[in-house]
Amino acid sequence: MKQTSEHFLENARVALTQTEARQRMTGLGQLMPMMRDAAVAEVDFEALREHVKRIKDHTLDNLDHYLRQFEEQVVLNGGHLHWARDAAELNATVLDICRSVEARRVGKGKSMITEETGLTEHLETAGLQVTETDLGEYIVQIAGEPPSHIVGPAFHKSEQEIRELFLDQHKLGRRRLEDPPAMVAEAREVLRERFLSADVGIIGSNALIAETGQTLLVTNEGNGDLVSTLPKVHIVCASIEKLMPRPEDALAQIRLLARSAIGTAVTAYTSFYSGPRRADDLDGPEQYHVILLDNRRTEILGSNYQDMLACMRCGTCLTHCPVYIGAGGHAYGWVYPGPMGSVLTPLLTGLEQASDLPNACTSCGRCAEVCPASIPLPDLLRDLRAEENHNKITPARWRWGLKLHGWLARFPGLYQALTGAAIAILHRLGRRSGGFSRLPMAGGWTQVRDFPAPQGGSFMRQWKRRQKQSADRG
Amino acid sequence: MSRDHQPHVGLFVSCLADLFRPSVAFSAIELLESAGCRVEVPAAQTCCGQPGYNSGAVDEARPLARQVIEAFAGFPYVVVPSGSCAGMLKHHYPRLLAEYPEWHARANDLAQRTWEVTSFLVEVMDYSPPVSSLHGRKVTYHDSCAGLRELGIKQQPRKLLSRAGVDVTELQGTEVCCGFGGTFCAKMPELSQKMVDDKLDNAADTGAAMLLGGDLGCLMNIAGRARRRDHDLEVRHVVEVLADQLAEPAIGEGER
Amino acid sequence: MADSGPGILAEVRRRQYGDADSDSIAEDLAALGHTPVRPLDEDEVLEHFLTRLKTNRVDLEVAASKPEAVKRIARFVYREYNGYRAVAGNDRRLAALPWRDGGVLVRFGAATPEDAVSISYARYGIAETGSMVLYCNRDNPAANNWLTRDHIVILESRDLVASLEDAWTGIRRDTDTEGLPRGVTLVSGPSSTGDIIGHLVKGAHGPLRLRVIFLGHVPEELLTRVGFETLPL
Repeated sequence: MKQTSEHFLENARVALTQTEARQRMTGLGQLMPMMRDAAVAEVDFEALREHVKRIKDHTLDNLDHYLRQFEEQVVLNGGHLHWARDAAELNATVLDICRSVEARRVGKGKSMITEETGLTEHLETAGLQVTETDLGEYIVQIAGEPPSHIVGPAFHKSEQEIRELFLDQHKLGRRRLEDPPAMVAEAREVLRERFLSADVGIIGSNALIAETGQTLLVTNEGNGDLVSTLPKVHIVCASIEKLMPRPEDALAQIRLLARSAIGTAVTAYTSFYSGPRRADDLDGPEQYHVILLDNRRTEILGSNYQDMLACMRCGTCLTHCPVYIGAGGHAYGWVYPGPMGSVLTPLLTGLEQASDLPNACTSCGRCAEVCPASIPLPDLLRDLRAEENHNKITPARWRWGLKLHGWLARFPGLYQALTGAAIAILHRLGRRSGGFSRLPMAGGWTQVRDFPAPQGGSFMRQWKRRQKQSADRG
Repeated sequence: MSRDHQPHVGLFVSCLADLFRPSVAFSAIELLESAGCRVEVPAAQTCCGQPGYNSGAVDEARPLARQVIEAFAGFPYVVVPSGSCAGMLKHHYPRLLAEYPEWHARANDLAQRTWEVTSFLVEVMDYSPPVSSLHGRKVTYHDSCAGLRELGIKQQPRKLLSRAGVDVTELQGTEVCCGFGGTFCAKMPELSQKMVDDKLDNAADTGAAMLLGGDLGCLMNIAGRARRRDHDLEVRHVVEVLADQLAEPAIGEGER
Repeated sequence: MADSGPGILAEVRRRQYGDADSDSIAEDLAALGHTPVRPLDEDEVLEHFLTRLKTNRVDLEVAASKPEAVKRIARFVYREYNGYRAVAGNDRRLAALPWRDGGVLVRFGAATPEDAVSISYARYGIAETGSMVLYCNRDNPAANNWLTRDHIVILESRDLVASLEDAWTGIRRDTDTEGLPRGVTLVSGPSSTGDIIGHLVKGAHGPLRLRVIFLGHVPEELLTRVGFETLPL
């Protein structure tokens, strides 16, 4: 997809004017955290995420070992394992597989990796018919929009928008589609035919199990399992950091994932797939492929940002982030929005194209508090801001302003004299009204709020005077 | 209590209290003294370095961290009337100085001695303020993010207020950011506005005419936006109420 | 196409923190211990399982015997479809049920789009999550899990285990004798979606309903407490 992260601010500005969508997002920002809190209260969240983090750290520290083990097992189970350096390699590999079986139709399940590589567009350009089968993905596909949330891709759309979309796109005559169940039922019928006619099924994975070569798939709709089962070719696209040593480790992660993502102990379907149909199976694909994507993960490995590789894509940092709730997912301009996206997008696409994203954060820390992977998101965002500053991506007026402030603050006497004088003037100007609606060099502040006037002379001045007076008296 | 047995406190004023609201520092001193502490205000203090640190200007923040560490060497307690500055001293100095072993050790030592003022008054001094003149009035409280999540400041101010006879009517989403975020509010004003508007709406829903908090950054943001919206809300730092220093106009309010 | 595997693996090896051999990696992993979850007490297992089924919007019937299980399935199929037909995999446990006597016409094989009802025989039930462990194999073709409108799963009380890990112990044992099935699935509810404005709707792409026939004894009082009604035979 075309990246628009560099226009984050303009994108957000537009989103903020869309009152109805904004209200929906605000509702989402209340509902999802509430559901998550209730579900998480069932387990010892801190102990569980600590355990999963240690397992993940261990896995990443020994990633080559686990990748090799996984590859061996996939092959042993009768599957094919492919490696992709970048988006282009993954897309080309998928297209090769499709062509080798003369595929015409592709059924896709939810996969952030293929969003990242722009696979659908690549296959469509090559003449294949590609259908997104996750309902949310399907809605944004027929609307011609990118997903706005990594778990609920169409969370930004209203019921009425989806109704109109279905009435317009599904040529099914006059009907009312009075409520979400009616719309889901219609989508079920329309998509059923796509499942049955797909030659190739493509899906992502929530974890890759080194010991058994299984790929884990966690869904509620069942679409992922259908595309893993009905077409004659099953392709799993995943990135290299998804490795977990043993099935038990994936189970530990599932406990956190479902609760964090949708506020339930478990999703409707939790499936571990491992290869093509066995000799006496009655159904299942004839071919099974796993494509492991790097796409700059190796650059993140061993860097200050390694913790980001533990992200399980639950999306809970999104709905807990007041900036995401205000700006909406599309403002972030690429595949991954919210706090995790603000870290990942610069790392995967380059800091310069996404320089606003690390700044779209008040360091409120709510994301890190709820992150089931214990990722210190505010720290990583701050580190990215430090890189921006270091590489002079930060606007010059900010850099120089902070430099000047930092320099002055190193000389307490001078600092107190200068700030004391300035504050005395501001106090005199603002004492009666109590605030300023405009101030030089504070345009960002006063654009939306008044600047409260200083209360009186600076504390340090007043304090010194008092100390002196009491010394004189003493 | 003899002078020797009094807990010796170094007050880190915080630059916002220093420049914009000295009554916060005076109130803090009054509370600490009436709790039985001996309070000193080291002269060599300016800013804790948060603006630079949070904006990625770490090279500018580091000398300020060292300056604070020097200025507060030897105080058994360093007390700060701001959750975010206290969090800076406690959590971020060690991180900022991680690559300088000697300073890192000193930063860790400072971290051990640093307290946000309400948590110091409750947890160390078990202090009970006198009954407030606000007794019986409805107030609401904004939990500032850094204090809440970095230091676990939640019950401490409420406990002190309740000991002073002031009950807090909780606002919805009290743990959600007010949109200040340091330089964030100036870099992304529209988003910041959305957040602070939500905060003001939730505060209005409580029916309280006064909002308290423990961080001047957030309070100036909330008060400034309330003023711009002509939203009648008295915004004050919690220590002003606890010290019953209510003669001064509230934040963003003109002289009467 | 050039194989990028060796290059990626070398890069991973170069950048990762560890450089241990397989044996010490295994030791390190073992040292990390087990998942910290509170195990259910034996007397909590059944109630927890039933409570989860309720939360997961699963329909439940209890059958004291295999003939009763068949009768209950027959009655359900007749009531819902005014018919007798269902599809089931080649599980010997399914084949051994008295279908004809109970009045269900079972076709043994993989579900097709024409099949409305499928019947599976669970390997395990998991109390912690209210899940049924099903394999995708000859005994239980994957299509039977996802292609029909109604999915009926028979679970024997002796196959009910407490935790996810307990279930996996059983799965490992099965795998040792039968080989790894193509799919191992924890089915925990009917297919559902919240993709339209977060409104939870059952029956997205997979079954609209999941019906568990619990083969064993459940005290009447417990069933009521959890919120399930006992259907007369």
